[in-house]
Order: sequence, then C-alpha cells, then structure tokens
Amino acid sequence: MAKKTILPFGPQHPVLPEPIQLQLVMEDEIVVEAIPAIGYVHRGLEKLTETKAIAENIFVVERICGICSFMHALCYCQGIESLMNITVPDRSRFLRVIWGELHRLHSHHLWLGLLADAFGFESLFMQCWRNREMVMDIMEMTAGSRVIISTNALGGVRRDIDSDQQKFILNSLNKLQEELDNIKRVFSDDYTVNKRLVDVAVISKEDAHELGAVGPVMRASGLSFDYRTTGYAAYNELDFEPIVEQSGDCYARMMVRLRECYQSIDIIRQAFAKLPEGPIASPVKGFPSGEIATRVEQPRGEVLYYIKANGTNHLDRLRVRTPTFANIPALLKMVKGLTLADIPIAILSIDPCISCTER
Amino acid sequence: MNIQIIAATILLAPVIGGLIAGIDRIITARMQHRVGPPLLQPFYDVLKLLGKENIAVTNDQSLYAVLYLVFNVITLVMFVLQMDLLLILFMLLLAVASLVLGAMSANSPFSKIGAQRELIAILAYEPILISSVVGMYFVTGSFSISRILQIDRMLFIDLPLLFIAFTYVLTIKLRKSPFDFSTSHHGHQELVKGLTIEYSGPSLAMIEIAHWYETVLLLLFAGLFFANNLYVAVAAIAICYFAEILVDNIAARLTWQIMLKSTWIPGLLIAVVNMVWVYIKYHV
Amino acid sequence: MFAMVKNVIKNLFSRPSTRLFPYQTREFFPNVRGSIDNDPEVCIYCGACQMRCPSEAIVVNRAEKVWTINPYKCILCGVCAQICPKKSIAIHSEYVHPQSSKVKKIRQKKVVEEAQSHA
Ligand code: SF4
Ligand code: SF4
Repeated sequence: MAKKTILPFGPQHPVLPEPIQLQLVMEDEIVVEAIPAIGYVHRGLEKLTETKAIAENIFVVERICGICSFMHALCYCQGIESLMNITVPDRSRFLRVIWGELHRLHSHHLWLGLLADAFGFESLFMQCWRNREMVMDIMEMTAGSRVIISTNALGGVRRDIDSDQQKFILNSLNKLQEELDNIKRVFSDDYTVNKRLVDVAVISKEDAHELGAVGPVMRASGLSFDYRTTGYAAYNELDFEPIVEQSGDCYARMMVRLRECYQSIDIIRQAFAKLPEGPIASPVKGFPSGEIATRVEQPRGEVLYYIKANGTNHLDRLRVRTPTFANIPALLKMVKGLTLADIPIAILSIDPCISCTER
Repeated sequence: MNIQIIAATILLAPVIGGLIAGIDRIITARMQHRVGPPLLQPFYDVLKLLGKENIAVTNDQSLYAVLYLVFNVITLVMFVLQMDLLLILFMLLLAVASLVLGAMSANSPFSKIGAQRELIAILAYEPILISSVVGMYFVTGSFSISRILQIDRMLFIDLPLLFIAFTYVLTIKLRKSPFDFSTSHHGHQELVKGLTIEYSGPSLAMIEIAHWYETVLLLLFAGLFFANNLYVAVAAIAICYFAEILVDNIAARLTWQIMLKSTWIPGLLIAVVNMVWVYIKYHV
Repeated sequence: MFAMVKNVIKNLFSRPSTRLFPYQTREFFPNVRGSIDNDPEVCIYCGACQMRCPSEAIVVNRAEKVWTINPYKCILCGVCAQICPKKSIAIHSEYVHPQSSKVKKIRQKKVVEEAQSHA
C-alpha cells in the first residue's frame, strides 16, 4: 500500500473562489478521504439581524451571498410578508421572478466559467464571463447596481422596469441565447471537456436523496424537484418544468445548469409577456409576530429561512440553511476515490458558496 | 569565431524567447477577447522577480534553479554549434531533471506531485523526441546537426509523420493546454503552480529565463525539419507556434493518463511507421 | 474538439471587449448607484437619514448643521435618498475612487460657517 500524504486543499486555493479547506488524504494521486474544515468566513450575520430593524435586515440578508443576493432578500421578504398577511401586488410578483431569473442566469454563467477554469480551459472561462456581462448590464440598468441589486422591499419591489428597459432586456437575452448556443456546443461536445466531466464524481439517485442534496446536484442525479414548482412569487402562472439529468456525474450537473440558463431566459420572456400593470409595492404597517419557515429555489438549490418575530421592530431569531451547506455531505461522498486532477472539478460541481454556508 | 557565436546565442536567445512569450500572451489575450499585456511584459515580469528577495524552502532549491538555467543554456549553445543531436537531447533531459529535483527537494505536496507528473511527461515525450532524431539519422546518416544541415532535401518531406508527432509533444514541452498539468502559466489548477510553486524571486526569474531558452531550442528543433530553406523554416516555426497557442485556447487540461495513452499509442505508432518507411527508403 | 475554434478565431479578429481602464472609461447607465452626496443648503439636518441608514454611515450634527457620510461604510442601498423629506440627498453614478486614506465626506451649511466666524 502506498504511503498516505495529506494534501491541504484550501483554504486558499486558486480554484476556490472562497475559503474552505478540504484535507485530502491521498494514496499517490487517489483521494481516499476528505476532511472538511469550515469557518473561515463566518461573519455573524444571523446575529446581526437581531439588532437591525426588520426592513434593514433585507440589506443584511442580501449580503449572505452576493451571487444569489436577490433570492435571499426574496425569501426573507416572503417570510415577513406571510407573517404579516401582506398581499404583494401582481406586478411586483412578476418583477421578482424576472430579477430572480436574471440572478440565476448570471450565477450559472459565473459557475460555468469557473468550471471551465477548473479544468484549465481559460478561453472558455473568459467567454462565459463575457456573456455574463450582458446580464450584469441588465441588472445595472434596471436596479442601479450589478450584483447586490437591493430591489426587494417588504410588500413589493423598489424599482420598476419600464417598456424601454424591457426592450433592451429582451434584445440582450436574444443575444445571450446565441452566445449560449456557442458555448453549449463546447461544453457538451468538446472531446477534452467530455474527458474531464463524464463519469467523474458520480452520485447515485439514492445517495443524493439520502445525503440531502439540493438543487442542480440533486436534479442531475435524476430526482425531479424544484422549489419553484410550488409557485411562489409568480411562478404559478408561468410554464416550466424542472430540469433533470440522469447520470449524476459532473457532466450531468453541468448540463442541468446549462439548460437552466435557457429555461431562465424562457421564464423571463414569459414573465414579460404576462407582466400586469399596477403598483409595485403595497404599504406595510406594523411589525410581524410569530414564526415561519420559508423556502426559495436559488441557483445552487433550495434555501430555507426560519424567522421568529415578536411584534417589535427586531427579530428574535433568523436562521438560514443555505444550499451549499446541504450539498457538502454529497461532496464528501463524491471525492472519495477520485484522482487529484478531478478534485477541483468535483468541488466546483456542487457550486460551493462558502460565505453562504457560514454566514 | 566560436566564442562570438556562443556569446551571441547566450545574449540573443532570451531576448527572442521573451519576445515570443510576449507575442504569445498578446495572441492568447486576443483569442480570449482581451486587450492583453504589452509586448515586453515578460521582461518586466522577470525584472521585477529579479529585484525581489529570494525565499527558498531548502538550501539546494535555488541551486537546482541555476542548474536548470545552465543546462538549458548549454543545450542551446550545443545546438547552435551544430553538435550531436543525441547529446543535445541528453542535455535537455538533464535540464528537466534538475527542475524535477528542485521541486522534489522542496518537500511540499504540491511541488512533489508536480514533479511526479513532470517525470511522467518526460516518459511521454522522450520516445518521440528520440524517434525524431533517429528518423533524421536514417535520412541523413548522421546525428550531427552540421551534417544534417548539409543535406539539400527538406527533411519534412521524408519525415512528415514524425514532424506531426513532434509538434504533438511540443505541447507538453511548452506546457500548454491540454498538457499543462505539471505546472501551468496560469496557476489555476489543482496543483496551483505545481513544479514551481516553492520558487520565488530571482530563482523563479531564472526558471522563466530558462524556459525562454528552451522555447527557442524547441522551435529551432522544429525548424530543423525544414532546414534547407530559411524562409520555409521560419514560416513553419511561426505556424507551429500559432497552432500551439490555438490548441492552448481550445482545449481543457487533460490528465496524465490520457497524455501517456495518446503519446504512446498513436504518437509512437506514426513515429515508428515513419521511421520504418525512411529506413526502407534509404537503407534497404 | 474543435467546437471552440470558431469562437477563438472570431475573438482573434474582432475588437477586444476589455478596455484599457484609466484611459477608456465605461459609460454608466442612468440611475446607477455610485456615490451619495448631500446638498448642504437644502438639507434641514433633521437626522432622518441617520436613523434609517442600515449601515450607520451617516452622522448628522443638528446643532452645528454638519452632515457627514463615511463612504466606506455606505452600502449604496439608496434608502437615505428615498426617505429624505427635502430630497436633498443625490445618488451620483460615479463610483468612489480608490483612495489611500479613508476620508469622510463632510457637508456643512455655509451660512452657519459665516455666522460662526462673525461671532
Ligand atoms: S434626511 Fe435629508 S434633510 Fe434630513 S438630515 Fe438627512 S439629508 Fe438632511
Ligand atoms: S445609501 Fe444606504 S448605506 Fe449609504 S448612506 Fe444612504 S442609507 Fe446609508
């Protein structure tokens, strides 16, 4: 038996955008075990929410994760709104869907680029991130900033999208779809890419279910579950199906996200077609009380918020379970038996967002 | 006369190598739709590295960096002085060996695994390099470059398959995607910078300069296939290098298993076919 | 294998999409939230912005009529501009440029200054 070496993968590592450490116990280039260590970017945001006013918390939860900031704010707002029995105007429900899907689009593009970078395909990485700029431009135009767009508010949204902007967005999305076709060809057909993704880090349907995987990781293993199908915001009025792949390897996880990009574009188009006229926010009076758990489908999977309010302007407790946290057990299962060369790809395939995980 | 040639080689080669690296970076940037660095950026980088403190993990580590540079310089000088090709290959091997030893001596898991991968890479490309030289021997009857240059046929016409195999392993030697897994120019990989991770400052600069010498040597080697016509040779080298950049930008990094399979089975196969063909043509 | 060639060659022969930053700058969309400023003559120094700012970036001194913002604390949420009763807070689209020290932006009512110097 070969001698075991321990390779400290992270906390600082070029393929990891954020700090997490996996101590890889290796025999030659085969990983026999992975020991995770988290806690490098804990910021105490859950505690912070107890000291801030309820409306201010929107800006706090947005900073749990930059990439899916809108969905965090959405989940929080939906929770508070249902505690207070506020009905959100129809227009703002649709606007929430639009911004939510834009976030999914830019998150998946970011991830596709990072994946390309993990297998050493620099030009593809640049291509993905360049396409992402189109989405970022849309964000900047509609919301005034690129990533943390702060458009959610209790009772609705803070900004409206007018018809000129709609035209610009739909044009950009057409262009984006063409560019997506280009990179899809590379991701799905390129020989070298296939060599690196197919049959790497397989997680079976049973394992995915048992280990509690969420989002694209779960859907890539053949489980059809997407929280959007429960119809929060305006999803109940839009037509879409969860995207499912069967093989459970990195290739399947990549395909799920790639196809979700097309799906998001389609959902945004539908939402614009159905966008009702009307106010964008309903008035909010008073403070919530009681407790509630709400869920929203983020790009990385399902996020869960537990909110306990006591009728004052401060919350008793806010608890967030983020998708990456749910996917780490699946990741530890995947990396066993992989060669070192496949580790970055396996780690990236769950789309880890460490600052979400640690908050 | 020899002294002048040697001095000119030692002085000019890094300039040419650095310029090639600069052009490479600009073309790569354009292929990725970026503006890219200025042409002289590789020189700025090296100058900056030279001005830094040398931090070595072990004492002999810096020595190996110097050796890597020295062996590369000697190899190139031997090539320019038109000496024996087998000897040149041997010297080239020594150069790589000192790089591997340096990485091994650093006692870091990243550089160790990088070194192991470099050894596997040597295993992959060395047979092809040797068969190219043997193929040239079959055609010209000599291992010496001076004799090879006297032949007034284009070697490429006799050795097209070997040339293809050679350009294939050139990707490994130049450390470009898909075979940039022992160390890469970008540092974005599972081994971070692999082989060279524990080097910094002047030692890293030396490795960079050595890599310039190596690039020049390899491109001259490629030019040898077209030696009887200078213009064709230069054009061939340019096309060859452009192809390398293109491949670098259209391929993901593969694993060493795939590299070994692809160099040994199809690579050696076409090399052997070519060698047998020229052997029959000139010796039977 | 060659799916990427088309993209790469197209990129090679078209204008790069990056720009040489300090020399070429990007045109912002209108309404971009880049930096916050206050008009000291319109402001009534009521302190509402200080109360509602989620990141506690604004300090209003009512007595001396000084309005101070720490741009490095401000998260550019825009709440202050939204709730200001006199609409004296403006959001500009230029971002705060990198600086070597964390300077605060201070806005003070001119009249007050003169009154003080006369006294
Ligand atoms: S809310 Fe407006 S008027 Fe009041 S202190 Fe702030 S800037 Fe001045
Ligand atoms: S933009 Fe937001 S964070 Fe900045 S000063 Fe105004 S309220 Fe405070």
